[in-house]
Amino acid sequence: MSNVVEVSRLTKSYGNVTAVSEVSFKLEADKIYGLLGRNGAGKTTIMHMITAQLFATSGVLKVFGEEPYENSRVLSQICFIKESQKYPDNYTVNDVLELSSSLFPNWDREFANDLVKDFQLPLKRKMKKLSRGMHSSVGIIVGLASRAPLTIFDEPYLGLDAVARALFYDRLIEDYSENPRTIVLSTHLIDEVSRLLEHIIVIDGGKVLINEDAEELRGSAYSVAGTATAVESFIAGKTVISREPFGVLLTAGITGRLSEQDRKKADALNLAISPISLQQLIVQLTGKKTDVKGGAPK
Amino acid sequence: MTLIIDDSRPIFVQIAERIEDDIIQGRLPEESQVPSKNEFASFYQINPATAAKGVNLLVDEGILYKKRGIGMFVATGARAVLVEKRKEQFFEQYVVTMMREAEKLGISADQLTEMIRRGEAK
Amino acid sequence: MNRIGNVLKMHQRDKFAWLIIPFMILGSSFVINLIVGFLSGVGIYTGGLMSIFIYMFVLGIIVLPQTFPFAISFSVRRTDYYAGTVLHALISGGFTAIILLLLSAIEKATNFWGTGLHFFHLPFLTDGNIVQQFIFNFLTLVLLFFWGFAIGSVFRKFRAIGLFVLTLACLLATTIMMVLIISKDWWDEIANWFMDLTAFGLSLWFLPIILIFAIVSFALIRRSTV
Repeated sequence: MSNVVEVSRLTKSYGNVTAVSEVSFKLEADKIYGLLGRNGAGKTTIMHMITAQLFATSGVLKVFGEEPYENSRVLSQICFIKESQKYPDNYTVNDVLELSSSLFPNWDREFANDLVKDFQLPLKRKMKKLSRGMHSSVGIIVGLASRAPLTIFDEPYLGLDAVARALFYDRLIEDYSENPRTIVLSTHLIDEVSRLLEHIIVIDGGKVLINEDAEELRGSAYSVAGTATAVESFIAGKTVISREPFGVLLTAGITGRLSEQDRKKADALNLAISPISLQQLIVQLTGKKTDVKGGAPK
Repeated sequence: MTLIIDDSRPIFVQIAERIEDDIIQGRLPEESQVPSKNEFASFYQINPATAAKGVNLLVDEGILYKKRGIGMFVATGARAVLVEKRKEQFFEQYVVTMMREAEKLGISADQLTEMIRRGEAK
Repeated sequence: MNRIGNVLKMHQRDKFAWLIIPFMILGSSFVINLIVGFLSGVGIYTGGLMSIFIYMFVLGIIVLPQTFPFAISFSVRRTDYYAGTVLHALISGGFTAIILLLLSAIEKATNFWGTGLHFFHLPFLTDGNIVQQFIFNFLTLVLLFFWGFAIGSVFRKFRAIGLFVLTLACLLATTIMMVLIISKDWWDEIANWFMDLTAFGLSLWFLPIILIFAIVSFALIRRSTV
């Protein structure tokens, strides 16, 4: 079975607010996915439904080929690390790690111990006395050492500095290379993680906006800049994703490959062409004010 | 050589270019072993599948070849092939662009030749 | 079984909530009463023992917000969470009931700590034999835990609005009962019924109530979200 997750027309509404609207996608085994989008786009809600922590309003959801709700065969293969994970007040770091070793069948104790040293965590300290960054480190350690066939990190690095985040990416790639598994990274720090990703799903306003191989997305958009009239004549008939006027000048973002003919035309019109990075592309696509934002009443 | 990966182009192409650079500049001699996809992945902090795609691109072009159970190696004659390819790219990337820019500035072909001589002397 | 065992382990790691805090509360209540007994010099009967029973009720309420979101996020099934938590409460109730019996015996053996303080060994509660006393302690502790647990699960599933509605419903039910009792003049019968009850007999009446709380909380927890 190659599909770890299959989601079809998945919807979650609260009263007349639709948080997730008819979302469909598949997650294949042993790939690293990026679930990207702005805060409040519905990413966390989708992941909560995949892990049976929230109930879908409608739609079909299969994880490891089965319904995840109250299904220990499915749940024991999942590790979901979220930004604001709550722990019992009296729990120490050690309590969390020890319990995790019983809860996750693939738990690697040695790896967990190494990570504790890497992140310089005080084992005996209570969870609620940890700094924000240390708190996040505990989640990262559980997520990595659990080696769960489906591991989900939802904004796992609140309060972590750049060094600690780099350490996380380092350990993630190293361990993933040796122990491939399906990993979902949900984040808005796109530029930091995009290199790690094999496939990207962008959620915007509760809907799937992009579902594409990461390499296909890189170099799939470019921007043209020049005088407004020249730019307008160049972009006619093309898929324009952004327009930024600046005095008599105009910069436009365009998706699609640049043909040799396009390049010549741009030269003739004296236009400057530059590639759009993955981060910029997603920012431009999700930055638009769309009608679906916030969920329109039906 | 820069470690920074540019996010506006496919990474596997950039990985292939890095390996090509290493072969051209002699850091990876012919018949030497190329790092594994996992080593590339850790070093550049990229997805191993992407690294593999970059390596496989060069395998398809006959620049690298696979020894079963051992790894990837630089093919004999790979350097010469790459240098030829790069010369062609050089013409496209630098000469053609230079001519275009020269035209804009009204630099004649003779003046350009003179400039290249001066550049050589530096 | 292993999965329920994991939930047991989860609760066992929280020794503060299940062991240290309840006996600290009980202990400090006892010490204060003992000092008062010494100073006053007269034999006193105190309700300080209630503190550990009340704590069981509080524990029932707080155990859900403390551990449910954590357990569910760490891939525990709701059913296993419920079974493990209930099992742990029963074990804890049994353990506490035995400790209370022991303390009661010690109190009697030391001639009420030499001061006449009746803290653990109280009339009515110690009327029956040792097994009956154990069952009373155990069922009372369990009833209070399940009562809190049911309230906690209403809050878990329906949040504040659920608790509000529940409170209103309870008030309404009590009022109707009162009106009924007064209008039908049942006071004497009810009073007599209670007078005739032993502690043990009373605790057996707790069983159906515990069962109702258990069913309600199970149904709610199965549908609760993080």
